[in-house]
Amino acid sequence: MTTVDLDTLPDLMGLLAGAAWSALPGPLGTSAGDDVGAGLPDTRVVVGRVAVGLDETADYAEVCGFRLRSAVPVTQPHLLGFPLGVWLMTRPDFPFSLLGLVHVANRIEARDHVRIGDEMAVSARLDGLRAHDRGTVFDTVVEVARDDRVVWSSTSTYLRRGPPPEDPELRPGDDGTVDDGHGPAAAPIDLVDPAALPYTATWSLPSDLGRTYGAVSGDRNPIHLSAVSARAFGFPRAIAHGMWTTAAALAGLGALPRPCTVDVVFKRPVLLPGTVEYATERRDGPTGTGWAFGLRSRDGTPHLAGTVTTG
Amino acid sequence: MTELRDAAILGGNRIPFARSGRAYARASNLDMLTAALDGLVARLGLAGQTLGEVAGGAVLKHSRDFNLVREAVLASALADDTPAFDVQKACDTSLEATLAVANKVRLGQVDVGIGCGVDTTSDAPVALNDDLRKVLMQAQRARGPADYVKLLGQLRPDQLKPEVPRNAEAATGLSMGEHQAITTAEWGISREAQDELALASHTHLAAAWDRGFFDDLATPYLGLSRDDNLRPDSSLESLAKLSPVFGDRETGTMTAGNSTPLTDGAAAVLVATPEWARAHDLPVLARLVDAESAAVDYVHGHEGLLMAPAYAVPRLLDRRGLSLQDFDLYEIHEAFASTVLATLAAWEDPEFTHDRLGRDEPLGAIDRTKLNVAGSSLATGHPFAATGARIVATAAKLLSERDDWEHGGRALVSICAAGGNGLVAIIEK
Repeated sequence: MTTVDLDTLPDLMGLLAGAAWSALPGPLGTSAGDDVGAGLPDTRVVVGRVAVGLDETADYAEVCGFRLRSAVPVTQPHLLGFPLGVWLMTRPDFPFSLLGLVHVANRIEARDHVRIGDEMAVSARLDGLRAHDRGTVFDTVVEVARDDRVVWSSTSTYLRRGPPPEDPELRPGDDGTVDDGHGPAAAPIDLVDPAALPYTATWSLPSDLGRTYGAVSGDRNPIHLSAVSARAFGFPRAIAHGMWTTAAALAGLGALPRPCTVDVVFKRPVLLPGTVEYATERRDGPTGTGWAFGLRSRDGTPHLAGTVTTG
Repeated sequence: MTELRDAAILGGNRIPFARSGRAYARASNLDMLTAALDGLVARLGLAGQTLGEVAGGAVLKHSRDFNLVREAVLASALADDTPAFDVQKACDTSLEATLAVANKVRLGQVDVGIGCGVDTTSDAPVALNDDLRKVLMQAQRARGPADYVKLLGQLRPDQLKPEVPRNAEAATGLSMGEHQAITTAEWGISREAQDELALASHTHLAAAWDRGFFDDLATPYLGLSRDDNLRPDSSLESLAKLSPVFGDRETGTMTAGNSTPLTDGAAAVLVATPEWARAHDLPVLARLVDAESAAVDYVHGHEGLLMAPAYAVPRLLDRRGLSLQDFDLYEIHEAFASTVLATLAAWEDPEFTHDRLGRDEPLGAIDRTKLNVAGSSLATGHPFAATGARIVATAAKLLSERDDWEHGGRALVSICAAGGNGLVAIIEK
């Protein structure tokens, strides 16, 4: 595996704009075909010195509903790893088109708090290319290290749906069987059914939520920004960022201890504007307190299933 | 009647206090109070525990924060089924809250609880212009288009000017500083005496931080690990250069150096029965023994706005059979240096004693070396509702540090407040 060192986090805006351009259907786009046979790029990309500032933490906490603490919210380091993942996924040797990918699951292992101003090293690599009954999945593995010790890591699982492309609103993530059972999130979370969890709250999500979260996260994927831009990619309206739904759901659980592990599976996308039910249940285990949580439509259609285990 | 139990003070925690618009400019009251609670929870091992009560509040409060303390409990590492309620009594807020919890402990209603407070002037509530608000309220009651047209005619551009909270008395329109300037002049408190008290506050607070006194009373927050109003290198010369900011601009004696600045911060204190403390392997620092509330008629009665403690203390002393000199420590909140000095002067003054207190003998002077020995609000700053909990925790820990107190370890806490209120308390080892 080769390692590429970058001085700073890559500019997401440029990477996403390039990806959007090449993914556009029709004469404007350049839609390159998949080449799964070549496998994933065998590259690890690293930014050696990066810190999270107070203002960006305050903005992120406000948008997601976290309290502002000296330690950043458990999901926030995702914003450090995401640009590196996108950097890998927009390289010429990446076999898929970035904007055709569906984020189907995510695992966060938070071993220690990441504090505002901490100097950290962030790395990302792609791994675990595997067959899935809907196509192909792989993981973006991000590690955040402080003083050479990994304090936070995440595994984001993406699905490249097999050709021909299917209507994403009808088929994303399917029924919780996100991959072939070898993925990191598969085992415990399959047991979480958002429709069966006790009701906690109703959330009214505004139409500009994707733009608001896009501004603090840098993830301005057109599927999140407006109905018009989302339609170009097959969605009837803009959809909420999966990592916003994850963050907001975790914010609702209050202070989470470290170490803790968060698993989420993204089911059907949340259309904006929209109303969803937030459902939570304590699931204390042998090692500590835990949670099962979910987001669902009022008719029970699942959007997000998640677990937190501590200890 | 149940026999009264002891209300033991087991510990306290605050975030370092920050001058308005600086380190905590992005933090809300809810953020800061949650941080102060979580620091206390972490240090004393209370995570996941259900407490009997958490009482606290804020002075500058958004209307959406009507359940501020309960929301902070939910966001904290305390168990979610810990009850909580809000108190709002200006600068007395968290002393009154701590007293409420202590009284519940003493009466056997709860075994353990927290008194707390928080304030921010960096994220203050700004309300709709009151004229506009009234039009909108009428619009809710409107029936039909004719009513709406009538209401449209009432809208004026100047109604866009928002209502900003002011540090002023509703009854007099004077700010607290302007009120205190009157008292300062009446009592003839000199500029030099005020600057000396301010310097002592900074010197004492700096020494307390340096010796690690606050290591188990404060948790760093958002990059701040000490009160940023603290000026360890302050001197009488530098204080003497400042211009008056309250009262007469020429002859006035109150400056930015001997008045407390607007500050952001939060503080909390844990109160329980000694049995609960033992069961949870926590040491008892001191006990909250008694308290007395007073108010003065500053509107028509010609008494100074911040002089209520001068009335509360003699009543409390009488009830306890104590003299003003029977204390090892005095924690008198430094709203302004001249507030402390005017209060001390009143207790020594025969005329005030006779005419205002209706007593024969003045309470007398105190040993000034026992006053605010770990610094007070002039140096720490004064996030209104957080000050009481800061002072209680400070006094309790100071008492716990020694065994050879002349009076067995007894502290007098005195906090003046807006609205002419005052609350004083006795803490004993």
